This record gives sequence, C-alpha cells and structure tokens, in this order.
Amino acid sequence: MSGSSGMTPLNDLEKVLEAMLFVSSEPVRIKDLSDLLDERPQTIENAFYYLQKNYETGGRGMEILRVAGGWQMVSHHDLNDILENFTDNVRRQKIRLSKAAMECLAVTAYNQPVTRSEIEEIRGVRCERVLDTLLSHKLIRIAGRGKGTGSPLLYRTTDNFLTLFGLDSISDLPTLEELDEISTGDPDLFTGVS
Amino acid sequence: MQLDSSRKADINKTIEKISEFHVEVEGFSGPLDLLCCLVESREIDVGKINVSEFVKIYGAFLQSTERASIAAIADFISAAAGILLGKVTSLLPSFDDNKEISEKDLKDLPSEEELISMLERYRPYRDAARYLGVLKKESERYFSRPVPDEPPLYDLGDLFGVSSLWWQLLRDKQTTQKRDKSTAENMFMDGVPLAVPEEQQVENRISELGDIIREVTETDLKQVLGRSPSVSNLVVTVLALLEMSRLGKIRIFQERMFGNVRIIRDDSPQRS
Repeated sequence: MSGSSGMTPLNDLEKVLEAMLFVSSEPVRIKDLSDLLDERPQTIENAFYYLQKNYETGGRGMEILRVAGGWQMVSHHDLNDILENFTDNVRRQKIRLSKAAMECLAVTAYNQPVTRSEIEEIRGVRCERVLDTLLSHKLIRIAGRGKGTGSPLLYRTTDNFLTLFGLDSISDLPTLEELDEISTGDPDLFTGVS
Repeated sequence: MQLDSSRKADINKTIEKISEFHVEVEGFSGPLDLLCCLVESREIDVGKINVSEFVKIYGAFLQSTERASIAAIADFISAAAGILLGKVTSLLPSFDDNKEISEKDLKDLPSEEELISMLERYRPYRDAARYLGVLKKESERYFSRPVPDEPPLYDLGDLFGVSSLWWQLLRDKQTTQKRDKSTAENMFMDGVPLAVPEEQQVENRISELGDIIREVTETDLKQVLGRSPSVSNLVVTVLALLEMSRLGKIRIFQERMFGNVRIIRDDSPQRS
C-alpha cells in the first residue's frame, strides 16, 4: 500500500497522530498530546513534521498544517474549487467579513488587549456593532476590564482568529512598520483584496 | 450636411416635446427646468427625489418621442447631474452663510495637523486589514473537518451500569414522593381551610341553618349569609335551603325577582 501511494511507512506514534488529526475538527495541541501519550513534546513535534513532509511528498488529497498553536489536517489547497461544489460543509466554513470588521480585527490584533474606545479612536468611527459581530464569530473575546474610567472591556483575538487567517501565533503577523514598508514598496500588493 | 425640411421639422418637434418634458416626482409635478430651479433654490427637498426613477421616466419619454437631439439629451444629463450634486451636497453638513461659526464649533473641529496625524495613525491598520484579507483568502483554500452539530453522546457504560442507574433514580423518586406526601399532610396552612367535598359542605350548612331556624322561626337570606357573602357560601346556602325546603323543614318565599328570600320554619307535620 505504502509503495503505491508514495508514502513511506509510519511508526506507531506517527500512526496515532495521523488518526488523531483525522478525527479532530480543531487544531491538535502538542501539550495535550504530550500528556495523553506520555511522550516528550519535541518527539511529538518531530513526528508531526515528518507526517507533514510525508503528506507533501505523497501526493495526497490532504495536507497537515501548523495553525493556532497546534496541528490540523486539512484538504489540499488545490482542491478547494471541487470541494466547494461537493458539500455545504466547506462553504459554511467561509466567514464573510466587512472592511470595517477587518479593520477592527487588525486594530485588535496589533494592540491587544484593547478597549472599544481605543479602536474607535484609531478608526475614527464607532464600532460597537462590528465588535458584536466579531464576538459572535468568536474571532475576538472579552479579556477582562481595563483600569481606565468606567473599567472598559478589553478585547483579544482568539484561536479561531488564528485558524481563520492560517496563523500559528499572533507573532506570525508582520509588524506595522514592516507592513508599511511592504505597501510603500509595492502599492499594488494588496490590490483586489478586501 | 443639408437636412431636408421635413426632417428639420421632425427634429424641432422633438426638441419642443423634450422641452415640454414634465416630471412627476414626490411633491412636484411640472417641467424639468422648473424642478431644477426649485432644487437649486432649495425650495424642494432634493433628498426626496429618486434620481433613478427620474431617469427611468425620461428614458420612457425618449422612447415615446422616438427621436431626440444630442443637445436635448445633454441638457437632460446636465439637469440630472445637477440634481445628483444637490443630493450629495444635502448629505454634507452645511454652514449657514449668515450664521457665524462659533469659536466652540471651531474648537470641536480637529485641526489640519490633528487630521493628518489621525490619518497617519489609521493608515497602517488599513494596510494590516488588507494584509489579513490576503491571509484569509489564502486560508480559505483549505478545509478542515467541520465541527459536528449532532446531539452529544452520553457514555452510560454497560447494561449493568444502566440498570443500576435506573434503580437508583427510581429509589430517589420514591423517596422524594414519600417525603412530599408526608410534608403535605403535616403542613399547617394558616387561615386556609382544607378542601371539603361539596356534599359535605351542603350538609354542614343544613345543620347550621337548622340551628338558626329553631331559634328564630323566621329569617331571610341576607341575615343568613352575613355582611360579605362569598359566591361559594351563597351557592352552598341556596343549595342547603332548597334541600331543607324539599325535606319540609322550611318554607322559602321571594316577593319579587332579585329580592330578598324569606325563610320560615315549617311547623307543619314532616313529610315522609
């Protein structure tokens, strides 16, 4: 079997991890697996990298990605058009976000924890409803209260945010200065992107 | 290019028709020129004019005239653009020329430097939002296993576990029922009489009325009921009186409809 599919045989740990990725609908975290399987985190991490490489070279319909601080098995990116027409399940995974929502997310991501008034100050417009939408999509969460007048709510991005944007952690985002350099150097870089 | 006289006449006729184009929009009915004039002088609320509807009407009008000169159409486009400009202007805050802007108003407005500083602060986040858009588009090419929305599964173990749980629940329910029953029996409710069957209530009332009638020979319903009779008391008393009358213990009379009822002890020999 392995010879015909182009995949090299997996050891017991890799097989277990592959099965776990298959049944899980959320990214699988190394720490959880380390406790469960009684293996060192580094061993599990290496096994995931091996699996990822194995899927990449094996010509499979699935890929293994590092996302939101864990690992996740996803469909191959080349198959998205076919899969969209195959089942509603995949279409439902797409969240439509307005320009205002994207800007609120960007301000939250780069300044977290952040209050609503701080976001409004940067954007120059009210964003109460936009924040409600982002909360309902579980892209941001309330992370306590600020020390200012009236103890305003503080907002942070969630793991769902990382998953939606394919980020492993928030530090994967380029800094605002880097973004400025990119957009100054190539004004058309983001053209056509909402 | 020379135009023949009939064609010239046709074109002139069309131009006349177009100049006579009447507009009927909300709050106005008349020639287009007058509408534009009223909009400019702000005598008509331009916000209420539906420009798309207006253009549609003009299109239909052109279709009916079949011919139109370029100049006439250009005039119309100019007029429509004027109305559109009026609509846009009406959306922007306006300063009355006669009213001087107060110093407070000016203070509230951000200065040019502040505006530039705000925009400079905002710009990187706009770029960041666009960058997130790129990431989202890229990420949407992957699909993961969807989160199941089926009802949760309950792990109850084996058959012995399920039956043990069932007997435990049954025992708990029986214990609770017993406790509730004894609590209800022992509970003393101040001022709330225990429910008594209707027959028993009527029998008790017959006994009470018998005692009254033995002492006074004659009485009436008002006296028997007291000052504030309840509906249930009235019903029970009337039923008791009817029963006593049937048994020949009393005689009851009502002089007029809805009047008082006289109750007289019947001293005649008892019927069997």
